[in-house]
Formats: sequence, structure tokens, C-alpha cells
Amino acid sequence: MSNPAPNDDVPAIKLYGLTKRFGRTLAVHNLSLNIPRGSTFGLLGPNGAGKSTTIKMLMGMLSISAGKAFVLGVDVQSDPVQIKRRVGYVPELHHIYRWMRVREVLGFCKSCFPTWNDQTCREMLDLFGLEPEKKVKHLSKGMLVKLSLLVAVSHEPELLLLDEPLAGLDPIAREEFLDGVLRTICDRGQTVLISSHMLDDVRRLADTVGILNNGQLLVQGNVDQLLTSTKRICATLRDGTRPSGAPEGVVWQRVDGREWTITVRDFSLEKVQQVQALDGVESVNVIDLGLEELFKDFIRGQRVAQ
Amino acid sequence: MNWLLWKDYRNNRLVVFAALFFLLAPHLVALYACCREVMRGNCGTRLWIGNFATSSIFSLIISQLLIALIAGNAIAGERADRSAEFLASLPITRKKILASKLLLSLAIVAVIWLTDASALMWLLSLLPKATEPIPEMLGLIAVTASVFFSVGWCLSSFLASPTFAVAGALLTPLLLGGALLYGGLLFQCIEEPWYGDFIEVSYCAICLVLAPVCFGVGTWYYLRRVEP
Repeated sequence: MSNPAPNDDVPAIKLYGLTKRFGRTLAVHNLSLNIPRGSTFGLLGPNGAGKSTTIKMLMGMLSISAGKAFVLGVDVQSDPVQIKRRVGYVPELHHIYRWMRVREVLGFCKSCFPTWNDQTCREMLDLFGLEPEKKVKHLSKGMLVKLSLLVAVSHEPELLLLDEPLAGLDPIAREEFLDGVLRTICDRGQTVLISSHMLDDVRRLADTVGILNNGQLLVQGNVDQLLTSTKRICATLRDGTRPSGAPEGVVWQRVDGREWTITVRDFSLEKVQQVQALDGVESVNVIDLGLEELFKDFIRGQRVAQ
Repeated sequence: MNWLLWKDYRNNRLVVFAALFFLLAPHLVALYACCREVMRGNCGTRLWIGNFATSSIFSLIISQLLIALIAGNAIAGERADRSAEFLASLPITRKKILASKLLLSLAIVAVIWLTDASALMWLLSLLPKATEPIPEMLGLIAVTASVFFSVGWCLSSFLASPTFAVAGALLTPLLLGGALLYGGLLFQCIEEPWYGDFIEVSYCAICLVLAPVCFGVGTWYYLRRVEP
């Protein structure tokens, strides 16, 4: 069975109020997201934010409590097999049959994917230096991740879902893995969704990011735009008392001694002037944020709000 | 489908080897016993038939435990080592996964039964007067085996522990037999001459209902379940 022709108008991922409950625990809450084709999306979030749960729901490996998820225009709940045929998936934990040899894993997976490309498989096998006769149980963590990626890209998927693939990898293995992913993106212009804590690596790959915390999407947007529009305003206070009337769009704020730090979204000079004009503020300066600081401030802001 | 079958065979290789062992070992022991008797000068046909009939029955009874093991391990085994998650990430329909597991399990059951039961029936046909209780006993073993298989299959579909699935499968006929005996004690009819037949018929009837129900429920649940 061949895959349907890709339709560029249809987003790679479209979520409407996606919700997942495990008993009383709300793992993902009313998540709405639109990831266009050809983009690389970084899903950021602390442990337990709901990243893996979201990705598993997208793969049709976890039931959806409420809402709708469309992957490559296909309803996840109605045809998960078609989605799995068109999506490459690298899980956080690798549970490939331990008794299989690498070549057996590839043979087994090849029999499942009608679009399997032997040439891509051979190239990646050489790139990663995987030995076909080696048993999975004898592979290192890094090699296992590479085997997972090899399986995920050899059937030339339209979308690549990478769930914390870099966790526990040494810098060299991480570099080689990222090279493999970048090669796939560059060669075929695939859509990629990567969830990770490794913000530097995500920054290298992703053009768009979303920050997820407690199952809720806090912010989503182009990385450069987010970094331009979110800034930290540092105000020196006369007596250490926080003045009332902070500008709109505060993500997170803290008073430490006489220093008042405010992270604001939709940054503009008016907001700086507004802070400067507040009673008790002596001086103000603006600090650019890196992706890591931006991530931390959004998470801390939501924790305070809760 | 071939790769799936190969994968299921490899996953259950130990059980398959154990099944082969229990299938052949009693016959080898019977052969040894016969050879010893021949060397002592006793080489009657009845001795050979008797020894091999006994070994067939023994092999058949032991093999039923393996049927519970195969069925209980079929789905829960992959959940326990979490390889089911890898399988779930591949574009294989649940029907195909289940068909492969069922095919392998039924193939093992068929080999056990075809070998032992047909050998037993053939050996008995060689005797001038057929032994009455043997076919009846075969029937009892068969219905018990169907419960072993179907309860193991059903529990395996629901649970992530093959140990509990196998234990549940093995315990069900025991509990059923125990409940029928307890009923007899409770109603003070255990010593009645008809109660033996009643227990046998009731046991078979319950097993014949329980087996398809459990098999159906297990299959239905696995096909409907989204999670691996």
C-alpha cells in the first residue's frame, strides 16, 4: 500500500484541545497546536510536563481523553496504522527486541514499511557505524538511539517525532545523532518535532518552539521572534519595595534586594518607559534572554501563578 | 506476516523447546523401558502398547501446562519487557499481531495433540478390547486444555505480567473442580452415585462455555485497546 501524496496545505500536526487524563491526573490539558509542514518544532518542558504523553498520543500509542489530533491530515484515532506508516518515531526509552541482531531489526522493520529505502538505510548504517551482526542487547545507549533513528528515517517518513532522543547521550553520540537528524532534514525537508531538555541542541535544530508545563502550552512561536519579543527588564529600586503597576505581559518577576527583575513578552520601549516612570524605580536596563533563560522564566512564572 | 511469526517464535523459543522436550521425553523413557524388558526376554506386543500409551497420556498431561504458558505469555510477555511499545510504534494492525501469536500458539497445541492423542488412539486400536475410560479422559484433558489456553489468553490481553496470566490460567480449572466438589459437600450429595457423573458433565459444560467466552473477551479487548 502506498502513502497518500503529501499535501502541503495540510499542517503536519494539528491539535484541537488535546487532553489526556490518567485517573485523576491531568497529563495534557487542552493542548492546541499547529505545526506546518517542513518546519522543525522543539517541544520544551520540564520532567512530567506532558511531552512524551503528547507524542505518544500523536503516534496513536496512547488513547486520547478529549480533543482531536490530526497528523499529516489523518485523525490519529481513526487510522493510527497509516500515521505510523508515514511517521518516523524515536522514543525516549528504546525497547527494541534485545535478542535481535541489528540486521534482524532492520529486516523486521523493513517488512512493516512499504516505503523502506535500502539505500538510505545502508548510508545511515555506515554513518552511524552500526555493526549489522551485533545483538541489540550488546549495543551501548548511544548506538541504540542511533539504531532507533535509523529505523525511523529509513522508510522516508514525512514527519519525524523525536521524544527526548538526546537524554543520557555523551556529547559525541549527541553530535552524531544531531548530524543524522540534520542530514534528514536537509536532504528531504521533513517536518521534525523534537522534545528535549537540551536547549542548545533544540536551538540548533528547531525554528519554532513551544514550552509545555503541567500539560499546558505556555508559549509557542519562532525562536528568534520569541527571543526578540521576550526580554528581561532589570529595575533598581530605591528601597526594595516592589511598586505596583507592572507592565502588561509579565511572564515572571522577582525582587532580590533592591533589584526588581521582570521578564515581559511583547517587549517594547514603552514598557521600559512605563517601568522607569513607576514610583520608587531609580534606574532601568534591558537584558536579552537566551533560550534557556526564556524557558526557565516561563516555567517559573507558571509555577508562581499556580 | 512471516517476520511476525518468526519474531513470535523467537520470543517463545524456550517454551517451544520445552514443549518438544515434554512431547518426546516420555516416549524416550518408554522406549528405554521396553528395550530393557526385551533384553530380559519379555517382548510382548502388549508391553510395547502399554508403555507407549502411558507415555502418550503423560506427555499429553504435561504438555497442557505448556499450553497455559504459551497463552499467558502471548501478549503480556511483550508488555512485561516493554518490547510491545516498539511493536506498537510500527505500522502493523492489531489483527496481524494477534493472528501471528494465535497461529504460533495453535500450531504448538496442534503438534502436541496430533502427536499424543493420535498415537494413543492408534495404540489402543491395536488392543483386542478397547479401554473405555481413555477416550473419556482425553475429553476431560481437552476441555481443561481449552480453559488453560483461553483464560491464559484473556488474562494476557489484560495484564502486563505473564506470571499472573499463567497462574490464573492454571488455577481456573482447579478452582472450578474445587467449587463443584464444595457444592457437593454443601448439599450433602457428594456420596450419591450420580454425583461423579454430574461433576464431570458440569465441569465439561462450564469449560466449554468459559473457553470461547474468555478467548472472545481477550481478543476483543486487545483489538480495541489503543495502548500497547
